[in-house]
Amino acid sequence: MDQAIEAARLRQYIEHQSGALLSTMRYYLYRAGLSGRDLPLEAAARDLLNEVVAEALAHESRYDPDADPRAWLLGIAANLVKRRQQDLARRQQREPLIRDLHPGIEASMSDDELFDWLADIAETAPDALETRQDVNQLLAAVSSDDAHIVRLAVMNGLDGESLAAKLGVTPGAARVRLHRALIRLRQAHQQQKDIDDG
Amino acid sequence: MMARVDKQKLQREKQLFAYSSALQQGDFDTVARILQAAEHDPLLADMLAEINVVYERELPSLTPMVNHSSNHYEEKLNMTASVTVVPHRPLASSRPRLSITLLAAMLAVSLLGGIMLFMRPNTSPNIQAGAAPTASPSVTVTATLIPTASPVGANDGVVNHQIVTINTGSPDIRLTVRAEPSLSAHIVTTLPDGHIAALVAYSDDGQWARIILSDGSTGWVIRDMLSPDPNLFVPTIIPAPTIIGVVPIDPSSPLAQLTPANPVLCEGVIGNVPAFVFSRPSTSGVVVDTIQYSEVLQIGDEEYNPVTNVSWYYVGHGWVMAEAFTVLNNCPPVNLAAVSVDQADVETTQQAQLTGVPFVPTVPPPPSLIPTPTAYLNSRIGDGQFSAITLRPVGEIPSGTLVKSPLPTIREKSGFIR
Repeated sequence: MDQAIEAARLRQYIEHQSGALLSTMRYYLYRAGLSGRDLPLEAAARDLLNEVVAEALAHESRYDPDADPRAWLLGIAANLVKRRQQDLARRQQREPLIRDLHPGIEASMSDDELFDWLADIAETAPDALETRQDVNQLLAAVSSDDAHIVRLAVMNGLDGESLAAKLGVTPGAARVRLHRALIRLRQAHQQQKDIDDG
Repeated sequence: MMARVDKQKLQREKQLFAYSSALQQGDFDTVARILQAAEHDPLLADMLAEINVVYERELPSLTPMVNHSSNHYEEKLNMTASVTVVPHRPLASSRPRLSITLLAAMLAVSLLGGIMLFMRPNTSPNIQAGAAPTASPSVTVTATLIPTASPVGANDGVVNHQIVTINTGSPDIRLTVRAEPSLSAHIVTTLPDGHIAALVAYSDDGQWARIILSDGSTGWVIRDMLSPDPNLFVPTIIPAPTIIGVVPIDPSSPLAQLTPANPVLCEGVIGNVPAFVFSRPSTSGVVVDTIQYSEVLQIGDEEYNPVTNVSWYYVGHGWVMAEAFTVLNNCPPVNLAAVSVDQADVETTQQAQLTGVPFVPTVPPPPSLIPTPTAYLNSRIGDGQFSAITLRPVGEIPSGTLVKSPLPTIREKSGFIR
């Protein structure tokens, strides 16, 4: 009985949130490079939403009523997107041959490594951004805007809410700006490493 | 002195960064993993939703599409149409001969693009603070000299163009276009076999070719997929110009119709893709330039177009749509008093007032356009690909019902239709 109620709640959530879910899936498809292939982005997003809904309803008994339904549904979407990417990669079998020509394409610093490095600075010595030569050298390699954001974030313990308050924007917007700055920082680090390695 | 970092909070921030980074790289394995973690962390789920909203809001300016939730649809179609230079070849015929007219038109567009690139300013401000408007409009031409003979960055010099045809060997196979000459680079789009494009450069290793896309931006494709033999083409790099000072503009030129440069009003940063610069604050104007991702521009004026409901910023040599900017620093809010705001968008409007980024209210799609589980099967069944089945809502088809499904993923993976 409880399960039936939860299933009904899940269906109700899907009905009410289909617009928001569609919007996120549209962005997922865009980032996955899966738009404009067989379908335009809008149609591809609708198709993905339909598939997510079908999967969710088929497996609604597995839905944990304590779980966040949005995260659960988007998780299904992410897995479906991943599957489509794999299908696409299988169809483009000639491309992996070229990968051998670019052995160094993987980033030298993972997301975790980069974030942990900054978190360590934030926790132990936030003023290291001004005194450590390696940090200064890295920040000098990105734009002043990016360096400013990173400095602010570290000084505020990498807390998105505090950064948002400093910047006068929403936490989501502040985090997006910080994440983009960090991604460019990592690229700069990779370039420096390539130069150092000759 | 900074307060001690909250470990749990820090872990969430780390996951949020991993989510953003994974999205940028198209790594949906990581995206799924973080979403799974968010299922039982409502705070993380909310934070992810906030980030999604920011990204989604940028999407309409990233790619032309049919956007039922935006009242910019016609505006975007106009913009796309005004810069499309590479028509799609019909698939039915064998590889066609490029018409003289089309070739001439494309070369003219390429030449015009080259001229515009030559005349465009660099990221350096070209609006002189406090400069008094003069009777004869003028621009300061600046650019960056490229260091190598293999352009790959945003500040490339102008190169010669050659018209090429994409040859995947089959009408069913599309060619992947990437942002960088690497298989790990983000996929920008795909192009069909027979698509015509302008080749502008090769990668350092010679394996990749850079082409101009239909929206005026560029992307990288595997060189072997181009026809005629791209070996016939040797890109000649014309060094980008150095700063040469103030250039008077011919009064008959479209550039002369621009608003004279005002003192600097504020600054903005362009978003994820090249933005178009129009000769006037409307997509009906001439595209005079494209501006690359993350360029910082000084803004001299702003204008709100109540007809199209779009705000525009003057960047010294033309006008850029407000939504092309990801960051606007200290820009006064554009007057949107005439725009009605839906109650559900109040929070977004407040954010717009904080950030200075003009908010354009969206029109929700009519209910019939939002797919529902029931609509899904009904529409699929109703398209003639199903037969001998009674229409039922999703979830109510009896197990074992035989259905000829055009979507094998559902049939195979969910067991929903068997």
